[in-house]
Amino acid sequence: MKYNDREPIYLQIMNDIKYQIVLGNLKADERLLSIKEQSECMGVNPNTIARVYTELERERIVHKEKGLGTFVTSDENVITQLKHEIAEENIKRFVDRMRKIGISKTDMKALLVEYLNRTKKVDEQNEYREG
Amino acid sequence: MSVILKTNNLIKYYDEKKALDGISIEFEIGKIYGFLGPNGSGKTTFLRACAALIKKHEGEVLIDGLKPGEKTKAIVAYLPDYNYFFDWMKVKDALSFFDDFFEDFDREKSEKLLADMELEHEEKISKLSKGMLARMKLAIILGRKAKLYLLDEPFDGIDGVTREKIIKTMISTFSKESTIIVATHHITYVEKLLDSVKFLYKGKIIDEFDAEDIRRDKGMTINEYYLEEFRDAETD
Repeated sequence: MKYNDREPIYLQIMNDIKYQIVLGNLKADERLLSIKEQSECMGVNPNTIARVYTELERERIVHKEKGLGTFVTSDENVITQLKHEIAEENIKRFVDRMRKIGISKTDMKALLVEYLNRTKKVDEQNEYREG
Repeated sequence: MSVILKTNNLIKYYDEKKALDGISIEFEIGKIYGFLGPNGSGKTTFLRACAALIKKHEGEVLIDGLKPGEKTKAIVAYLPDYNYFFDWMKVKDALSFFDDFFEDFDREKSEKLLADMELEHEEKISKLSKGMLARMKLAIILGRKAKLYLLDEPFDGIDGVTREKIIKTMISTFSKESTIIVATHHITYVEKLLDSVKFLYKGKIIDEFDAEDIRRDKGMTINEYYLEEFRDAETD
């Protein structure tokens, strides 16, 4: 993982773990590396990793089991919620960038719909070919 | 949080020059600290005082509640920025030397680190290149299971690949019961390693903070913040 040294490291690692869960690379009930393993593997201070696990536990994304380790939640609702959070972030980024180049809300919507329709045809064609 | 190292108004003169100008700070157990400042700011003098290598100074140094001396040497692992081994020694003699002197020395661990860093036991220390010497000193010192590690410029003479190895070794050596103080001016190397940072300038502490706070509150890297603070200090 490549870090941005201008943002808190623990937030970057938290976001990465959330993303890995949504992508399915980290599965429900999967055990995370121990704090020591994770910090050595990433070259990051173990206190930072401890903070990541504590914060993720507070958000109910992982749970600790005494003597066994830290596990990814199996609660579908939490994972759906995570997916929405990540979608929201991406939408925000999209909207911010469109605003920056002077595109109105109405045009934004129109452009997005137009894009989806246009690529839909391509997607369908691809599906047809692959099928 | 309990404190492993504490100084009260520590002052050290070299002739007329004040190398340390009234330092009062604390270092907690279970943290990795960056002790950062330009060359000549007093980093080495401060570490030497804590390693019981400076007899005369004003003010107080307390390590685990004790004044620096034989007792504290047993729990403090000090990496000086020079070669302190005898010229006749081979790498294996340095291992034996540490084995004899320090009860907390884990010879097997040091041997593993030496192998990781591609150093041979039969190599003569006086014949080692600058980079090899730097690697050897670290492999030996990190073999100790000390309470307090004082590392003076551990990255001098070390290339990028070895640097990553060393940082990983520091992390694996570190535990909740220990404290690591890294004195360096190579700040970009230690951004992800540090819990807390203390800035030293002309023998004085000019700032102390948690690494993540600077990133969160200022949106800056520690190095950027360092450059800004020291530019201001120069013009004051």
